[in-house]
Amino acid sequence: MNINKPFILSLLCILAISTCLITACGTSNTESAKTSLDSDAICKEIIEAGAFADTLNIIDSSYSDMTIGINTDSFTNAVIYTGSGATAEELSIIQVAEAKNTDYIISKLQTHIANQANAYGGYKPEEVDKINNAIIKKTDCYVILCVASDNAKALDIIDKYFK
Amino acid sequence: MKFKDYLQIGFVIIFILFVPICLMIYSRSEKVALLENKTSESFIAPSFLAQIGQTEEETSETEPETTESETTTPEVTEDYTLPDDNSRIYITDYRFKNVDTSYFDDAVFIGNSRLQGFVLYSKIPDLTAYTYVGMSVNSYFTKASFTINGVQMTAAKALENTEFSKVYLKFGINEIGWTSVSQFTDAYAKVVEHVFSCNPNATVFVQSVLPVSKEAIAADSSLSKEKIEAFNHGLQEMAGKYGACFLDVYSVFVNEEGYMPHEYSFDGVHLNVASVQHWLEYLLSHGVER
Repeated sequence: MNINKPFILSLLCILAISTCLITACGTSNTESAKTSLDSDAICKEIIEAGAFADTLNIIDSSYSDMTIGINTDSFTNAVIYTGSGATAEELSIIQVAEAKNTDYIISKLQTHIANQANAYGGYKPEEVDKINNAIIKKTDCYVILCVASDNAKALDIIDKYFK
Repeated sequence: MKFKDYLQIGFVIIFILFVPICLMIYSRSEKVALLENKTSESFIAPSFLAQIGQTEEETSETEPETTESETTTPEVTEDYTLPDDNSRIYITDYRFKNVDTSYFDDAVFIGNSRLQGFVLYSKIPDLTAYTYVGMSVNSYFTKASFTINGVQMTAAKALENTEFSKVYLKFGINEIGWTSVSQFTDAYAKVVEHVFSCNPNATVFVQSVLPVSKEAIAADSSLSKEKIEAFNHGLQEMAGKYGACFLDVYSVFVNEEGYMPHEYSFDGVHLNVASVQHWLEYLLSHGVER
């Protein structure tokens, strides 16, 4: 069998380079994903830890603009839980393509939190303290927002993943 | 291997990688442009920066200055004047039919947190909705809480920028403390008139105020089952007068004593996920024949 060695070597080189590019975080070749989180599992872990007084329910991420004030084209994945409306409690983990995009997500979440404080201030003032103590943390390509009734329980979980 | 073999390898690699690399660079520059566009509208409150371990200076490069409207929900203070409308056909006798969820494709849902719960929990994707916690028939015209094409606007203005054939309205629980029923229904009528001014041929559904639980009334003195009943009576009259379709969703969730059963809700006011499905079933059995 006549094997063209240079051709085979070329293919191997291309494969190696492609693998490096594909496994990078998004399209950046200067930043790479150091962390891969299971957002669904983390959210469930926080909820099961008893951090919330309300019953949180998962929401279709197509409603991200309504629920957290972030357009769907700003993230690659979002797991969003909201309360029934009885409380301001909520939990979201947003994943973006590149770590530097988390700053934009955080800024939108700050705006959302400010709006929530404004809305609940004239509606259920007892919820405003929870909102003002909202937990927002980031790690690599992920941002978490948590408005809980028991921040200590929430942070026990969150700190494991968002250092 | 000979020199020409190495040369051959080099050419093949460069040729095959050239196109994807160009595409990556192009895609990256587009994303950066998009991000810069978006960050120009964003804002980070200094009080939150400490929480995320950043200083204002650190974020200033990526988060330029923005207008105040992006960070707050300003009240719109100018008077709203309803346009003259003589083109509308008043319908007072609606006939219902069963429909599927595609019936909502050209519908807009407007209202308070109870309706927001319906939108989020009914599991129907891509409903058009202008809802927020604390929304009232007055703030429909005054509170700029919705962003369309980068512009923050009231629900009224948002609706003017939306194509629709049906509107589902839901107000009342945030107005329950108002002094009289007519004060509520008069203000509600302005919303209905505004919707018809946007589309005279639209079907406007006025959904009744849902009941609350006995426990919720005990915990909040502003709540009253008699007031809710009076509001609903007033809404039915108002809807008939203005040619809107009154939907008695209240009847789905009320028990013999006039309260919402405890199991329907976490707090006796806002419906849980399971109960929202009853609401959805009611709406699906109350499509309107035109």
